[in-house]
Amino acid sequence: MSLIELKNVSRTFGKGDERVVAVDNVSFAIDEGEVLCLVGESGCGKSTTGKIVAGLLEPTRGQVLFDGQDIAKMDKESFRRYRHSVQIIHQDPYASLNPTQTVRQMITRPLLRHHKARSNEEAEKRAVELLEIVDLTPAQDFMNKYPHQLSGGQRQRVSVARALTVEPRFIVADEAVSMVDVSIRVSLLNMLSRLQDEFNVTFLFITHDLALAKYFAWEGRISVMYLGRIVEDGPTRRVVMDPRHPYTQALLAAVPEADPELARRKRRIELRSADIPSLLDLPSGCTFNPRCPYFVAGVCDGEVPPLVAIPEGGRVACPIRKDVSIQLIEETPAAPAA
Amino acid sequence: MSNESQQVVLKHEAGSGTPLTLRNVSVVYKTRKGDVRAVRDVSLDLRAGESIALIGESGSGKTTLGLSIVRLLVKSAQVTHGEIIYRRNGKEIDVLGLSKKELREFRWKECSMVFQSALNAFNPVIRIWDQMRDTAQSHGWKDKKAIRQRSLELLKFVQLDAERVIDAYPHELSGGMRQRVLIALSLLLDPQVLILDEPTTALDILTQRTIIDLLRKLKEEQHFTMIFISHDLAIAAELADRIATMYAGRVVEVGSADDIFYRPRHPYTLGLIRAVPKVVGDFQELFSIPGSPPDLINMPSGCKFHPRCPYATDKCRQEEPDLVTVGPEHMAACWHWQEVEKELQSKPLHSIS
Amino acid sequence: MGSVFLGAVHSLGATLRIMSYNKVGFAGFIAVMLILFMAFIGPFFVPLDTVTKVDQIYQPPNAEHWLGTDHQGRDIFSQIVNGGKDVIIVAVVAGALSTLIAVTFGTLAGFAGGRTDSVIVSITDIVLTIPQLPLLLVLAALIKLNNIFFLGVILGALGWPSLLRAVRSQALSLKQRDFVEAARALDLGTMHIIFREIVPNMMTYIIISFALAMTGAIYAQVALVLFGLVPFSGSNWGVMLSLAWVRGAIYFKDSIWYIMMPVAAIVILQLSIVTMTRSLELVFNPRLRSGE
Repeated sequence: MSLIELKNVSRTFGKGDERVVAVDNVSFAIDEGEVLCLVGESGCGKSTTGKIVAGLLEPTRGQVLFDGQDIAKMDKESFRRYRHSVQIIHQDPYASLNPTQTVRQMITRPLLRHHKARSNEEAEKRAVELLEIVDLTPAQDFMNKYPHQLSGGQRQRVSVARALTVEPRFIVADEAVSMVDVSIRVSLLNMLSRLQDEFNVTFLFITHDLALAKYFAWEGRISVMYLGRIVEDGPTRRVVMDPRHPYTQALLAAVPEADPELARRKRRIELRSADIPSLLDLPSGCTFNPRCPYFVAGVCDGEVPPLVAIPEGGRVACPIRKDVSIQLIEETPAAPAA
Repeated sequence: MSNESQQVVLKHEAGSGTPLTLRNVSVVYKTRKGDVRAVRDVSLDLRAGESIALIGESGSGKTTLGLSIVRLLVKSAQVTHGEIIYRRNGKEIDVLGLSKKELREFRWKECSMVFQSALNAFNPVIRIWDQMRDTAQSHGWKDKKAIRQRSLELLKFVQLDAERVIDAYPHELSGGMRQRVLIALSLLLDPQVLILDEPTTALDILTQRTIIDLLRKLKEEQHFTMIFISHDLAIAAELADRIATMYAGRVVEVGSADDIFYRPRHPYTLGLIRAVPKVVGDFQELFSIPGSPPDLINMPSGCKFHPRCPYATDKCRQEEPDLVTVGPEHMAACWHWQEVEKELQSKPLHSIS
Repeated sequence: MGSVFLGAVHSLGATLRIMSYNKVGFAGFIAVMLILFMAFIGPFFVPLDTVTKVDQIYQPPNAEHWLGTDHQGRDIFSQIVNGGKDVIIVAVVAGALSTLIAVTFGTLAGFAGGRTDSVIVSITDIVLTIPQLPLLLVLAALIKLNNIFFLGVILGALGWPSLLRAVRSQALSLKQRDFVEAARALDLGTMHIIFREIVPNMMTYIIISFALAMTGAIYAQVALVLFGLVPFSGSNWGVMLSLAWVRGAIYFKDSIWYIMMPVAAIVILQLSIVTMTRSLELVFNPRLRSGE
């Protein structure tokens, strides 16, 4: 049984002409101890999906199962257990901590409220332990600090420590390292990986950065979202090394590489249109069809293509290209791009 | 995206020689907590037609340096030392000595800056056309027809649907389109040098790619002289001929893009490169740089990187190293650059063999 | 909210130091302290002068009568000293009550949303549309408004709607903040979220609103007295003004001091309260509290 499962989850915002389908019929399951990366560009619905998983937003349609139980039908006690088991880490280290509270207040309050500590002394001790787990040492130096006295990386660590107060089994990390300086990013990712190894925490890692997804979820899976739908998923190695959906391929080809040689030799994929369709007026069929270089009239703009399993692992929502591999690196350096 | 738009050719006259020279430039911000030495003693030559990337993390001084070249620093900041010399057609300009009026000319006709936040750069109630016309007219262009012609040409060059975009309001355009309009606008008076501050940050990946390709076109076909300011190494790898790494207000290493990425000699540059993942190819181990960026008010003694550096010795704690030549056209400011070289011989950085 | 106040007040010295960062605000704070001292301690030293002295009518300020005398030759200074207490008490009671109502229900409406929100907003709109002066007129006819606490409560009970709307919109925007969402994920409870996450981030705003509510209440009560809607006994800046008005003091050049003194007292009090907020808002700025 999976720890978290989404069954045909949709979420709309607004009414009438302003109605937007942010998440459209998304299904996936995450096993205990696993890492799933949700990848996509802004507006693809990945953050909305994350909030639905974390129980902070209700789906308009579909079910969210936790330990096999539908969270919408849970009794108070089971919902409380679910609520404490799933925590979220936000993107912006400047917005995720209350500027008027000290680190001590932020961490001891949940401990005391949920009886994870019976006295102030015990809460204090536990807070120090948690800060050490997230590598904020010596912990005592941080207890009296306000958020503005911490660097971006340190704030994200406090966010993680705060989430750990309720001993979660599942963490939704929504672009959790995107706004942190490059040199610190890796140590944050490694710290999160350690939580996975040592405490068996399951992760939904949401990011727009494919390279980060690849690094963090190398042993896990990646789901690629585009305009509210999952277009491809599968084991990270397969998705990154042998992408099949034209959108995944375009993304991988477009990501700038921090390596001049790679940058010169990376294959270019020309899209038919540079514009992302508005969520208010989505194209019929596959929503990528107006931009897709492999567009076939009558097929791509008809029915919404379903996710179909492929033998190499995972699913692809493209009947045209699901069995075709492409090379992302040219054998010889490409001529200067025109 | 259409073929038609790609046929538009700008007639940019590539300069020659060294359009821009920075000599021992230092910038200080006055704050209540004390002086922030944001840029310290930076010297740099920018050659005609080359693109140079300033890379570094937040607080490294890269944006402050860019702003000081076009004299757009906030009031609390001051260039305390050094010279900025600009050259075109054999004439030399002392940028720090320009009057307010001369500066306005300078910023559009000689050295243009494109900012990070493309939305804030526009007045929301003014159409793109009015913005372009105002800019051109305030610099002495009279002929409205010619301005419109030139504007359309530039918008086409940045691969926009020129006829539609020129009469649009900023909010009607997407982030990527606005960034392209901004680039077109900065080219309006045909400057020699372009400074781009985080030109692709906050844009989506596919949009980012179109901007990168556009900038590459400016560089390779039009031979603009460009300065990229970015925290993203990938932008530097994609677009720069030369790269300067900045740390705690100083340039700590400068060299060709290949030298910086494959033969770095400063431990900080090496640390950055080893911290950034690549998308294509097999799994690769990443390493982070321990510690956090320096407090610019209470900076460490000696080499400012020493508290985070695996090579640090007592010498590093006492004396700040100067840039020394470590290879052809390649300089680094590190007492132990030879050890970095040795380590890289055992663990090379090439990802494609 | 308690801990916020404790955090701010736990060291009086530090708090005063932070307040002194804003010179104007600190001057306002000192002025308020002096006025409070004068209004509450002063009467013990300067008894109210009630003796009619026909030979001393409408004197300008002099050594014996610092602020001159009124139409019955009584000392104005003693009236100013004795007439502040009631004005201040009404202002504080009204300001505190309307701020309390506005903050509690405004935050609740913004945070809870849905039906709670619509009910609170409708009630607010209804109260907002009640014409206040006629209502007070009716009230004054029905009940004795000369109990100052009662007057404060009534002014407070009518003064909260516009503030509530502002607080609600603040809460709506704060609710979207990531740290509030994190608190929800941590199941810290609605009370915690309102009073520990949202309200502390509105403190600056609440302080300013409190000051404005007080100044509003001062004007309202003076107006009530001036129009004779509240039968005030004893001395009070509003009563003084009212009396001076009734006596036609504005028509006599001699009586300028009599009418100007209560006006000056009211204006100085208002000004001091408003400027003091500049310093008070600093107290709730964590950057300053942490000693930076």
